[in-house]
Amino acid sequence: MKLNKNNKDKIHTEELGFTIPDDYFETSKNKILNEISTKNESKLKFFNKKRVVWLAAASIALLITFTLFKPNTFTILESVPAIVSDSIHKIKKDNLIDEYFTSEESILLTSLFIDEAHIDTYLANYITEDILIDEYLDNYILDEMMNDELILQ
Amino acid sequence: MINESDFIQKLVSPKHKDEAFKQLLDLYQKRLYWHIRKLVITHENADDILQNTFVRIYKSLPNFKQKSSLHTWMFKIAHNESLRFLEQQKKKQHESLNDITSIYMDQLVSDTFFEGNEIQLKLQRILGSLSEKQRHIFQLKYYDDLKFTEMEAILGIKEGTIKTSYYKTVEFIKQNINKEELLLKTKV
Repeated sequence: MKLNKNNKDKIHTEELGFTIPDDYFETSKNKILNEISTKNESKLKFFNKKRVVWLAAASIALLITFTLFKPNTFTILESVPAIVSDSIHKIKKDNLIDEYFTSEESILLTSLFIDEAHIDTYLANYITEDILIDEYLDNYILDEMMNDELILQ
Repeated sequence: MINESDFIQKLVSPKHKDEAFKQLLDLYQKRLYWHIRKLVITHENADDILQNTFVRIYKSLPNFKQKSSLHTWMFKIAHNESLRFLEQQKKKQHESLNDITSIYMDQLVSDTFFEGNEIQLKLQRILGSLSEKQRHIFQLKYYDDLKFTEMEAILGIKEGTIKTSYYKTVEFIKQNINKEELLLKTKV
């Protein structure tokens, strides 16, 4: 055993007794190159995935924005058709609000001047109740008719 | 002769990097493998670490600031990857770094990729008995043929300390190997 640097190429096998599988370096080289190309692909896939996520997030954000801030809710008098705004001005000018309140046809128009909370209360107390009563009556009549039919049979 | 700066430019250019990286593998694969193998002893471990080393090199190339040579930088990555592996093994087996190396040394006899005779095994055991720093210094100089300045950059130890440690280790090994050879001759 000589501690010199002669025959450097074989030093690891001859002095240290280490061996490697046949064609190891060629196989290892291909393995490394494959690993790198896989990493590159997954990096690209990740980037594309990220882009899709960003697009989805942007779409959701836009959807929320349009839902919360409906442009229609900010309608101002100037953007209302002339015929409607003229009527509103006329009602205001001639102090006809009370008259219109009593008219059933002008409920939509008058609702413009009523607070949202009042409309909700009105709907809950009267309209919903009326609908429920009508439905109950319909069911009652239908039941009665069926009972009559059964008796006749 | 390849100009290092030009070669690095190729390695980071999107157009040439794949071809340049193949060239880099041809140039350094063996050298880095043997450096790693001496640190982690078994072929299986060295194979995994070599792969990790080149993947790390590939990923880190765009950030390479050329403060050291490409050669030194790559050896440093390989060295650190090997130490990281040994640290992980140490934590798994609750042993010190030197003990982990001793465990691998003991497994050498039954290793498929070790065909050493008694003297080679003895040399491995002598190397295993050295402190971690002494062993790394000896291996980087004697087997990997690095310059002392390069070793300073890789190990983060002053050049003077490296030189002193190296020459002391060489003497220590020479004495022990001679003794072993004498013992073998007596037996025959």
